[in-house]
Amino acid sequence: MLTACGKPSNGDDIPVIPLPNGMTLPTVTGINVLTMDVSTTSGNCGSGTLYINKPCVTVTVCDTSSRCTTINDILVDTGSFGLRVFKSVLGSTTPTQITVGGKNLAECVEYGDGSIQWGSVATAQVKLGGESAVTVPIQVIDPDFGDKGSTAGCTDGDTAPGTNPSTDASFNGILGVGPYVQDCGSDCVSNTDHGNYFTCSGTSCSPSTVPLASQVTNPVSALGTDNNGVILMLPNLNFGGAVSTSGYLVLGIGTRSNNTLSGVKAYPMNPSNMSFTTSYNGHDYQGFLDSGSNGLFFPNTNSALKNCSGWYCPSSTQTLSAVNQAYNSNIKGTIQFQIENFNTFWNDPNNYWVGKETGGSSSGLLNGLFDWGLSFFYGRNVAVGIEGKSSSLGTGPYWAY
Amino acid sequence: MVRIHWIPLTAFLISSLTLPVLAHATLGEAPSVSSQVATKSMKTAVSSSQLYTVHEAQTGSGTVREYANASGIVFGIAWSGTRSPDLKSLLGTYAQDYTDASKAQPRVPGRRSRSVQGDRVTVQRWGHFRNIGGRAFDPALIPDGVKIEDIQ
Repeated sequence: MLTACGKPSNGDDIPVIPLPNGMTLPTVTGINVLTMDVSTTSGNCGSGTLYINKPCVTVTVCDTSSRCTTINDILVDTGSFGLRVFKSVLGSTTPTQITVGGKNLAECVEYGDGSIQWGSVATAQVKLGGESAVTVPIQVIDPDFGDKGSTAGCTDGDTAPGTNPSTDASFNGILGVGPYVQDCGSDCVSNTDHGNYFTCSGTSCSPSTVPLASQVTNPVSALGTDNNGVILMLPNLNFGGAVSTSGYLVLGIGTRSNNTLSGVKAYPMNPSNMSFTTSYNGHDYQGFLDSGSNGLFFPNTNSALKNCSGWYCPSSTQTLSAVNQAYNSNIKGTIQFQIENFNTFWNDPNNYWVGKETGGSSSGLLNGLFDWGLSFFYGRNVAVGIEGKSSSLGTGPYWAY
Repeated sequence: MVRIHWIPLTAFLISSLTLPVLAHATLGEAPSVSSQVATKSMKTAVSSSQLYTVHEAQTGSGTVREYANASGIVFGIAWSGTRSPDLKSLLGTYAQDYTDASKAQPRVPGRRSRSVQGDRVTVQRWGHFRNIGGRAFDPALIPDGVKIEDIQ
């Protein structure tokens, strides 16, 4: 069994503990630290969103008239880039609409589950933790903006935060802290028909190129000091699950005493597709670490891993392993993980919403991807190094854990 | 607290049309080598086996491949890139089947993939930002000996 770490709080900027994290994190404080809850009922996640393994923070968004709104229930997502919030939660805060060629800029983004977010792209002052605000383009999710690029298929995007994960976004926004600076990058500078960006005359929106500086930007990359990436710190979990847990989203890697990691290994990733190689059960996959995925999702090549409504439900808990190898490098490491019967987790009388042994099949899907979702992050300090930015762990893009 | 187990309460309609691309690659029809809108380049029969022929097109959002059987009928389409292509166009007469099936099978949050099985067509999507992929196929048209995973 795992034992408690239970280190006491000792004030500001204390060093990060070595791996692995224990059952209890030390208290980490500093202007670059955001409390990150994984919960459906309390804290930064708000209440009522029925969503397994959902990590949330609170951010503040301001406009040029200093109208600020503090928004909770922001999903922390290492698999996307930039801040997106529903217009309906911004209150009187009005980010400044960005124009390209004299037309209003809009964006349509698509996630792997096929969900869509449509809305305007506007400049906001974004405050993360105690850091000074950064001025970056964000997406204001707004199904009523323009004509939703009606000829280009964003008409069916998320309409509201909502609370039903089958039909609603189930969050107020997404903070994309993945390893890229912009959400699209050079593709969208040169290609009109990449499908992400649109410009609108009146309500008529059509595909457009967009300069890098106008693309939705990872706000971490714009910080003064702590701009080279983030560290997600979550405590370990008891086997079987928990009602909720809490950790930290720490800004910057090795830029302060409280974000200097020891005992971690950096894995440079393929900059073109955000992946390293994950070898599992005799096959190589494009692996990625994604806090916005709520389990471990990989093709089922193990007959013991039965499938129950998309989740694995083996008759007995399976202890498995995979090897992650850095891109163009011999750096590698073995990950042991467990998959338990999802129905046991789900039907536990304690109402678990947080689980480390949750996983599901992506057989026939993901086309060779191995998705290390939030289950991977428990008990680890996971660093995400931003492209082109350096730290003691190397130059991004990389993951380190 | 009463918890729900991903039971759909109301319909979620997945995006069914995105980019104006590839009028030539329509599921269930013969591939046309005449590339039309928004196709940057196109190769015919980039690879083939005795079982099928692959046609590939580069678009602004990535790559689209169509898989045609020995009769020249497209039985599967695969894509990869920054966004999904215009599925309404690619699916042709199957588009409504997909739309209906999508409504009946809402997404599951926290996933990076989704499979929708209609009466006639299966559409699978996956990926993350900057790396979106998927495939669509008519199981009834897939030649014997061809695996679904071959459509990629």
